[in-house]
Amino acid sequence: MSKTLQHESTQKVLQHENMQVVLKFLKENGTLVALVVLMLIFSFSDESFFTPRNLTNLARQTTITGIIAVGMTMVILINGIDLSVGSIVGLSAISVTLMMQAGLNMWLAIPLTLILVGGGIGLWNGFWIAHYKIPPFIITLGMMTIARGLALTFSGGGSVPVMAPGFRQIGGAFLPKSISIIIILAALVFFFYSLYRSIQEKKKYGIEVQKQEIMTSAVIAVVGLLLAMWVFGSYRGIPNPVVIFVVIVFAGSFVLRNTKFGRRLYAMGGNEEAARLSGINIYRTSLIVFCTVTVLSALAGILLASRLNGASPNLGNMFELDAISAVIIGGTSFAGGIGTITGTVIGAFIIGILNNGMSLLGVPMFYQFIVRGLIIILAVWFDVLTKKKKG
Amino acid sequence: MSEIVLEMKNIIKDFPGVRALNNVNFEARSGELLALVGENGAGKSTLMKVLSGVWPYPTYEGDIYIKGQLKRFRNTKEAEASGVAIIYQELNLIPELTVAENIFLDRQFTTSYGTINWSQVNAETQKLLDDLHIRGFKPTDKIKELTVGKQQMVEIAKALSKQAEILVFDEPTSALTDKEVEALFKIIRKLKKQGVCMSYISHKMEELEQIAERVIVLRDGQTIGDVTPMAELTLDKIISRMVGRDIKDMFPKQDFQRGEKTLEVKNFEVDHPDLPGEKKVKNASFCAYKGEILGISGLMGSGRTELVTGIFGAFPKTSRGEVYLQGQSVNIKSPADAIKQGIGYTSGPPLKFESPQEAINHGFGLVTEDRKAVGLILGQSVLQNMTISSLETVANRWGVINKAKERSLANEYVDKLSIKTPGLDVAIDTLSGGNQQKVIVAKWLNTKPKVLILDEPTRGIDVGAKVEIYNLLNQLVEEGVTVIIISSELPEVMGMSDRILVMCEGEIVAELSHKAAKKELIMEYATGSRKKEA
Amino acid sequence: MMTQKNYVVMITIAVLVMLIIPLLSVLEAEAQNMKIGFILKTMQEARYQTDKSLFMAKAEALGAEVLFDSSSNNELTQLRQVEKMLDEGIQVLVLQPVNTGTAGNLVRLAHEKGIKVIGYDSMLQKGPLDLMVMQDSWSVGRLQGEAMVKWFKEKRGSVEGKVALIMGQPADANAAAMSQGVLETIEKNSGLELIAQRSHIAWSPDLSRETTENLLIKYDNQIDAFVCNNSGLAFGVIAALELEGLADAEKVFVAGSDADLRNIQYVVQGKQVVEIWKKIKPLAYKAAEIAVEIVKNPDKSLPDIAKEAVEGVEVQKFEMINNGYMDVPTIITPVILVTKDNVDDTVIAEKFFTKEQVYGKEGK
Repeated sequence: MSKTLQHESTQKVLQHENMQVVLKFLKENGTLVALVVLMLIFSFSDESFFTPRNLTNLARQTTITGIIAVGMTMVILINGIDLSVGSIVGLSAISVTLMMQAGLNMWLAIPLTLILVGGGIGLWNGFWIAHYKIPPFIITLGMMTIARGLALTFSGGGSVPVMAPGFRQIGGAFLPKSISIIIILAALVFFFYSLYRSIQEKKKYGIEVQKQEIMTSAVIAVVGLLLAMWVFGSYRGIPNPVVIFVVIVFAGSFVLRNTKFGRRLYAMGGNEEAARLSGINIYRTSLIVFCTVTVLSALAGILLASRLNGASPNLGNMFELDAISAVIIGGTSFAGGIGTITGTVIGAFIIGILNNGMSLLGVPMFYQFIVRGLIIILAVWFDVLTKKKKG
Repeated sequence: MSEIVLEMKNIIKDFPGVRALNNVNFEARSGELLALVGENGAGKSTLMKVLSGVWPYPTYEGDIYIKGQLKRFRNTKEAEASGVAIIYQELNLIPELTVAENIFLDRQFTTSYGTINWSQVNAETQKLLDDLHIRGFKPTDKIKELTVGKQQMVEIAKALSKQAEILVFDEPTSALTDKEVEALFKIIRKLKKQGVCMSYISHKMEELEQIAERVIVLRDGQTIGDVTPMAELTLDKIISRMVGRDIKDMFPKQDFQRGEKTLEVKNFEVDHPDLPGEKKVKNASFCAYKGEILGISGLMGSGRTELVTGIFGAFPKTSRGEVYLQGQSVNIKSPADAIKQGIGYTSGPPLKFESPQEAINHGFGLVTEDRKAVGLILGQSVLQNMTISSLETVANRWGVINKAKERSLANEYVDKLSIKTPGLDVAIDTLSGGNQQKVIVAKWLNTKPKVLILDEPTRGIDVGAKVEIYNLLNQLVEEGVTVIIISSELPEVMGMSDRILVMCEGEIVAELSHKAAKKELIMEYATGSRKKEA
Repeated sequence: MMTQKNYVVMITIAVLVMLIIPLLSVLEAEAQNMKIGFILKTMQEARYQTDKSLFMAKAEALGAEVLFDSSSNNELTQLRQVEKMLDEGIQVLVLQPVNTGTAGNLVRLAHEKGIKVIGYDSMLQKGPLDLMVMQDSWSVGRLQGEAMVKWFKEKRGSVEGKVALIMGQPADANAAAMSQGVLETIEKNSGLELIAQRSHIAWSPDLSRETTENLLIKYDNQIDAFVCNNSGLAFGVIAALELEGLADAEKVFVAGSDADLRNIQYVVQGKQVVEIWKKIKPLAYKAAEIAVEIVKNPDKSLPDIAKEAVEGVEVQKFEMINNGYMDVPTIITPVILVTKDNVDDTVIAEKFFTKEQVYGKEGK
C-alpha cells in the first residue's frame, strides 16, 4: 500500500471516528437533549414555568407516571407489555379508600392494597402469560376492563372520600428544606465517589477510559443536582412522592444493572429461547416482572388517592399510554433486550414537562393529545435514525 | 474456451478502520462455475456485494466489466438489469406468500385492467420450475410450508427468472439435505450448459470438487495466487492458501484413557411436536464415559438434537426416560435442572427445526447459522453471554453481581481459550463465528459440567478456527469432562470421536468404534439402508 | 404447554358461556305490567345514588318495574345499554345522556321500536326527544354568579378579582348551560377577570386538581374565585387549594353544584363557599310519574302530560324549550343555593342528608 493511500485512508478513518463520537453522544443522550430543549421552549413561552414552585409541582406530577414506567420498563424489556396498569391505579385507589372508610387503619390498608390488588393482579396476569403462553397484550387488555369493572363495582360507581388526615400527607407532604438540601449534597458526593470508583476499576482491567463519557456524565449530574437543589431548596423541600420515586428508580436501576435477576431480564428479552436453554427459569422470572409492574401501579394509585384526598373509579384512565410512551421515549426497545431505567425516567419527565407546560399555556385538551402523540413519534423516529447511522 | 463474461479489476473496498478488499482481480466465463473460497472475513461476501450492487459505485474503487462493458451499478436493481443475481445465505423470501408470489414479487403480470393476473403468474412459475426440473412443490404453496432446501430452490428460480446470466451462490448448501444438494448440483450442471456464469462461495471442499471448474482463493481481502483450474489444485493446497499455512492435521485426534461411566440413558423418548402419536426419539439408550468423545451422527431430522435436548430438560412434558449421572438417577425437568446436575448443552440447530415454520414460531426466521438461533443472545456483550448460565458463581447471596469478579473470571476464559475479542463489552455479534463458539464453550465451562454436549460445534466456522475448536475439545476431555458432539459433517465426527452413535428416524441404529467407523458404513446406517443389528 | 387445540377449545367454551348467560336472564324475565328503563350517565357523583333510589321508589310505588343502568360516562356503553333495554321490552325510557350532542341517535333507536324517551337532567341537543325533565341548569350558573358577586362585596369590598371557570365534559350541553350564567355575571361586572375556562374530560376531579395546581402556579396564588360545573370538580379544586392553605371561604371563593356530601361538609367546615342543591326528589319523582303516565296513556299528548304534571306544584314549571332540533315539552325543577347559613334549612331539613352526615358524629 502506498504511503498516500495509507494517509488518506487514515484521514477518512479519523473523520469517521469523530463523526461516530458526535453521533454516539447524540444517540446516547438524545432524549436528554430533547428534554433540555423542551424545558427551554416552555421557559421562554411562559414565565411561571421555570420557577421552583412549578418545577416542584412538575416533579410531583411526573412521579405517578414515572413509578408505573419503572415497572413497565422491565416488562417491555422481556418483550412483554401491560395494558392494565391504568385500571389498577383506579382499582387500588378505590380499594385503599374503601378500606379506610370501613375503618381500617391507613397503615394496614396500604400494604393490604399493595399485596392484594398489586400482587394479586400481577400473579393473575403472570400466570396466564407464563403458564399458558397467552400473549401479554391480550391478557392485560382483558385485565384492563376487569380491573376497571371491579373498581366501579366496589365503589358503586361513585367516588370515595378520605377522612383520615394523615393519608393526605403521603402524597402531599414535603421533606423539610434543610434535610432536602443535605440529601442532594450527599447525592452529589456519592456520585463523584462512584465515578471515581468506576474509573479506578476500569483502569485496573485495562478498559479504555472514555474522557468524553466521564465529562458528559459529570456535567449532567452536577447540573441536574444543582437544579434540584435550587428547585427544592427554594420552594418547600422535596415532595414525599418524589422521594418515593427516587428510591424506586434507584432500586430498579440497581437491580437491572447489578443483579442476577437484572441480567436474566436482558437475556430473556434478547432471546427467550436462548435464555431458557441457558438455564433461566422463564416462568418464575416472568411472574416476578409482571407482579412488579402491578404493585408499582397500585402504589401509584395510592399516591394519587392521597393527592386527591379520595378516589373516583375512573382514576388512572389511559395511564398505560403515558407509561408506555415514557418507556419507549427513554430508549427501551419493543423488540426486547435493550433499555434502561434512566432512559425511562427521562422519558417520563419529557411527558411530564409536556403536560405541565401545555397546561400552563392553557392549551386545550385536544391539542395536548395531538402534541403528545407527535412528540412520541418524533422521539422514536430520532431513535431509529441514530441507530441506523451506526449500522 | 468459453468467453469471459465478468471481469473485476483492482477492486478496493474500505470500511471504517479496515480495508476489506485489497486490489482484487478475477475473471469468470460463461458456462463455468468459479469457486470462491476463503476464511470468514476474507472478503468473499463483500466482493459479491460489490458485484451485485449492494455496495454501489462509488463506495468502492476499481472496475467491473460485464461482457466487456464497464458497469457502475448504483443499486441492486441496476445490477439485476445487467444480469447479475445473488442467492444469499439468509433467504430473502416472505414466508406468508406463495412460491409464485415470491418469485414474481413486484413483477406480476397484469391484466388490461391493471389487476394482477394470478393464473398467468402461477403458470409462468410452473414453467420456470419445470425448466429447472425443480419438483416437490407447487407455485401456490406458501413458503413457510417448505423445507429450507426447497426454499433455496425457490430463490434460485427467482434469480433465474430475472434472466440472470451471472449467478452468485453464497453458501447455498449449509442447510440442505443431501438429496437437495444433489438436486441443486443437477440444476447447476444444467445452467452451465445454458451458458450461465456462476460464482460459488462455500466452505465445503468436497462439493467444490464436484462442481467447480476453477478456484480463486481470498485471504485478508487479497487474491492468493491466480484463478486456477480445479484440476490443478489439491484440497490441501487450497486450504493452505486460505489459511496461509499448512494444516497438517485437520483433526487432531488424541487418544485418551476411557474412565468411569458418567452418563447413562435408558429408553428415552421424545414425542413428535406436530404429529400426535408419533415420536421424534424412540427408545434411545446409550452410555458416555469420562476420557472419551462420543459422536452422534445421522441425517438432519433423525432426532439427534431432540435426544440431547430432551436429556437436557428442554421438553419436560413430552419426553420421558431414565437418565443416570455417575450412577445416580436424576430427574431433569428443565435446563436449569440439567445445569445443576452438571450437564451442559451448547446448542446448534434450534429445537424442532423440522420446518421453517417451526423456526419462525420460535421467532428467528430462516437463519442458517444456528448459533444465532439459541446458543447466543445477540445484542448482549461478550461478558454477559459468557456468564449468563453461571451467575451464581459471581454473585453474592442477595443476587448482587460482583462486577470485578465477573470480569476477571471472563478474562481468564478469554486467555484460556484464546478468544479473539476487542474487549468484553463489545456485542457478541461482532466476533467471528469461531470466537463466538469459543464464548459459548466458555459459558458452559463455567457451569463446571460433568457432561458437555456440543451440537454442530463448528458449523459455519472457517477451517483455521475449526482446528482450534477441536483442540479445545481435547482439552476438555483431558480435564475430565465427558464430551458428546453432534455433527452433520462426517469427516468431523469420524475424525474426532472415540465412539460414534448413528441415529436414523429417531432410533439409535449403530454404535461404532473410531476404527470401525467408515464413511459408507455410517451413511448406510443413517439412511436406513442398513438396519440395526439385533 | 398450551397447544393450539386446547387453546381453541378454551376460547370456544368461554364464548359459549358468555352467550348462554344473557340468554338465561332473558328467559327468566316474565312479562310484567309496566316496564320502565332508567339510564344514568354515571354514578361518579354521590347524588346519583339518590336519583336512582328516589326514581325507583316512586316508579315501583306506582306499580312499575324499573330496569336500571349507568354508563360510566361512556357513550358506547350507553348505546349498548339502550339497545339491551329496548330488547328487554321496556315501554318507556328515561335517559340521562353521556353525550348530549349525539344522544339523539339513541332516541331514534327507541322511536323505531315505538318507545318514547324522556330526557333526564341533561338536555339532549340537536335530536328528537319526547319529553324532558331537568333542573334549572341556567339558574345554576346564575345563582353561582350572584353568590360570587355577593362574596366579593363582603370579603373584598369591591367586585374585582380573578375568576377561573372549571367546566365539565367538553361540549356537554349541561356544562354549557351551567356556565352560561357564570359567564354572563363576569361580563356584567367589569372588575372580574376570567383567567381560565377549562373543560375536563369525564368531569374528572383529578384533572381539575391538576388544572388548579397549574393555575395557582401561573398566577402565583392570586386567584380569587373558582366556579365549578359540579361537585366533583369543586372537590378537586379544594384538594389543590388545601396544599397551599387556601381552602378557606374567607380567602378563595369556590362554588360547586350537585351538593355532594363531601362538598356540603366542606361548606359547613368553611372550605367551600357555596353549593347548588338540585332538588333531586322532584326531579326523580316527576320523571317517574311521567314515565308511568306515558305507559298508561300512550296516546295522550306529551305537552299535556307535562303540563298536568306541574299543575299545582309551585316551584316546578313547564316550558317548551327548543333544543336545536325541535321544541321539547320540558319540566323544570328548582335549584337552590346552599351556603353555610342555610345548610340546616335546606339539605338537612328536607332530609337530603342527616345532621350526622353533615356535621360528623360530634356535631359542630
